[in-house]
Amino acid sequence: MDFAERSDAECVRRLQAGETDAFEILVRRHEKTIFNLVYRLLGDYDEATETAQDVFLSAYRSIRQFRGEAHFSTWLYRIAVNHAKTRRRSLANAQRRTVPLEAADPVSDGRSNPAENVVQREIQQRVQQALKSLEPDDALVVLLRDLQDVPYEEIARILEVPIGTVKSRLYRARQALKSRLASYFYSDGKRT
Amino acid sequence: MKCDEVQAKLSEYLDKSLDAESAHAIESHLSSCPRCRAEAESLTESIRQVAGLPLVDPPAGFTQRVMVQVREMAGEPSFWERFFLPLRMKLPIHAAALLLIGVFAVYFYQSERLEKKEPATFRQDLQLEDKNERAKVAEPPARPSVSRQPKAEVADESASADLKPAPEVRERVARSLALEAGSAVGELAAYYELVIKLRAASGEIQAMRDQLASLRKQAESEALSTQAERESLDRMAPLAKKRAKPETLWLTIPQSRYDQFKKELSNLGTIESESQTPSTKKDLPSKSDAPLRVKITILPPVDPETTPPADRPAK
Repeated sequence: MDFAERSDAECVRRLQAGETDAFEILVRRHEKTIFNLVYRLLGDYDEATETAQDVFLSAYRSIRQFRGEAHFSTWLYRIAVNHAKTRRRSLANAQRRTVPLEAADPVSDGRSNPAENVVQREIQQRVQQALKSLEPDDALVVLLRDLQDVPYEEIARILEVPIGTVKSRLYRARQALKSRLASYFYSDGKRT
Repeated sequence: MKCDEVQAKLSEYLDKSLDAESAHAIESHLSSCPRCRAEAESLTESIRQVAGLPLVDPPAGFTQRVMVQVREMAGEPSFWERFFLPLRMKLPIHAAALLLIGVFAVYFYQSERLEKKEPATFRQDLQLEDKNERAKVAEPPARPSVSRQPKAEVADESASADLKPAPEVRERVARSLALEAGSAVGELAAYYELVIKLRAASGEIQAMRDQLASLRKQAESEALSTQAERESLDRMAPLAKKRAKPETLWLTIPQSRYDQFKKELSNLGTIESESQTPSTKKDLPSKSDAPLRVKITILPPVDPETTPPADRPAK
């Protein structure tokens, strides 16, 4: 059975039995998702790299505690959320300056027009800054729902809150983002 | 629906997570309310902007770096693994350690239990047990009193002149004496203890010696005691007086001679106490020849120069 065929559950079983190499499959499968969640919450590439590594190392250390009651991805997300919130809190306390995103973000959608790339990059920076201005719990629901398309029920399991709380947080976060990004939108809904 | 109600549900409406009826109601409202329609459009745009954020690749070699650390962790045994594995080595070691701890615990417990006995009683136990070990059960004697008896010992009881042996000690002595005499346990009164306080008059030493000589002759004539016991009798009373300390000796006399012996002993001093153990269930006939083991504790006389008059015994 090759890499694409082994499910998360099977990899976890093998890992719990002592087959360390099975963890590499899990890392490769989820590294981009976890990295982006952490990166968008922290707004710093190096911090995101270190934190994402810690997420996977924590998952490895506590793999025997995973009993398979939820999806492995849900459990991994939960670890990532905790690490990211903790790191964001310590960064805020340390008042460290973040690395500008221009160097980190790739050209968004492959447009060949340089002017559009600049505009797009500027919008992305604004969005990132708006996300950073949100409370961590609100930013997380927006990132999980709008960036990573995670269903409400799954978000509720990851954050360990009721679905109603997910919906109300999402509404509040989207309203806040809308307010912060209002100058980039059409006054009548179209971009100026 | 009112605008406030519609705007509160817009987020779910845009996520298509409302039921059909609610969604239809909101659509109807939006078609006729420009304000809510503008609100819906700006909310849609902000959602699109977040969704449009590009996915960022982690740095090259991210997975490899993670796995290097994972493999390092995998190579280190956990605390429990360090403690218990390999089983073939650790189990015997742990078992041996547990066994050793158990042995020491029992050993120290036993030592502590013995030490908790009263020291004097413990000493007596040792002395009596020592006597019993040295005594041999001879063939049944022709006369009940003829048997090798343990040597009389001078117990230094200066610190416990009025100490009486514990009942269990007396019982043990009684049983061992019964075996020595060749008689069954229970037939013998076996153990008497007399405490005699010598009279204080200084001129009585010679008289005391004479009394002791008389007692000795009687002991000789009736072969009651061993040579050692006879000599100890000669030695004890003056010694007690001289050393101002209690002295103890053992004698063996026939039951029938006990009362007479006591009477003669009272010429040396005052019999302070008399006890018998084990207590016999029935009185032995006074003319019984069953040997009696008698422990005599000789107390020094009261010194008239140091003892207040009220404390001196009446003559």
